[in-house]
Amino acid sequence: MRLTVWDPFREMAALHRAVNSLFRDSSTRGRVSYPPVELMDKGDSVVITAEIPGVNKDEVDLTVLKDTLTIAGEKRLPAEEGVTYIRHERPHGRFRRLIDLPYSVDQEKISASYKDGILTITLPKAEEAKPRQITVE
Amino acid sequence: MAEEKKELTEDARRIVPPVDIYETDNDVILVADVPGVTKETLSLNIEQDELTIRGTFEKKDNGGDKLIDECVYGEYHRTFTLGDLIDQGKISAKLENGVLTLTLPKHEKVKPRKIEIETE
Repeated sequence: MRLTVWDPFREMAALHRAVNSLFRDSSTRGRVSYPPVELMDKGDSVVITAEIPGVNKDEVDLTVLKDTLTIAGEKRLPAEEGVTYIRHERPHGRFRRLIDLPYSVDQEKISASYKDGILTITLPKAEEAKPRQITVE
Repeated sequence: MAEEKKELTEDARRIVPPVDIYETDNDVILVADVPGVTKETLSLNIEQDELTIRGTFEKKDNGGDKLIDECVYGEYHRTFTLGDLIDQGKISAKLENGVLTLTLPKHEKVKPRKIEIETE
């Protein structure tokens, strides 16, 4: 038989979490920064993908300064004048996100593509940051 | 049976796409963010008065270490109930840059009409 001690504070903490998640879902949808990104270390390069559906390719501004990548742009409302909004859940407005790169990158070789609302940025690592195999003799 | 159900939910995460819905004189426009969805992986169904949007955002994982992980992959799924004012036979859809735009035309009889006053 196991004896469990009822800890009222633990339940309080659970309630606290539940209430917090309620608020998070309603207003900011749990997103601290926009856009949501994924960063993959592929050995020779770093690949960043960002979800920016509905953003025009020409309105995305990508800059790399030292080891920081900045993704900036604007997500516009689908219609502004003469319409009545019944529901408005999609985020809109200007955004700017700074991402610290884990490695030095070769600034000349950065490439980016945009498809189906997903921005993919490939940043080849600088020579000195590439992994190297050392042979033991 | 229960096991099967469990597997289904673990296979793909369900994502509820955020939407904007607005009304013009002639139409109701529904705009949904579905990043990563292509024409091939999107499906739209109308059954009775229920409009269902489904789409898949597939993970193209070709190796590497994930250092930041905020993108959610899985299945987009959301259902809306269409009111009487929508002409279901005339609904059209467009998918562009990860955004689905549905144009739901209103029935002729519910469109606002301007009545001309004739003068003699």
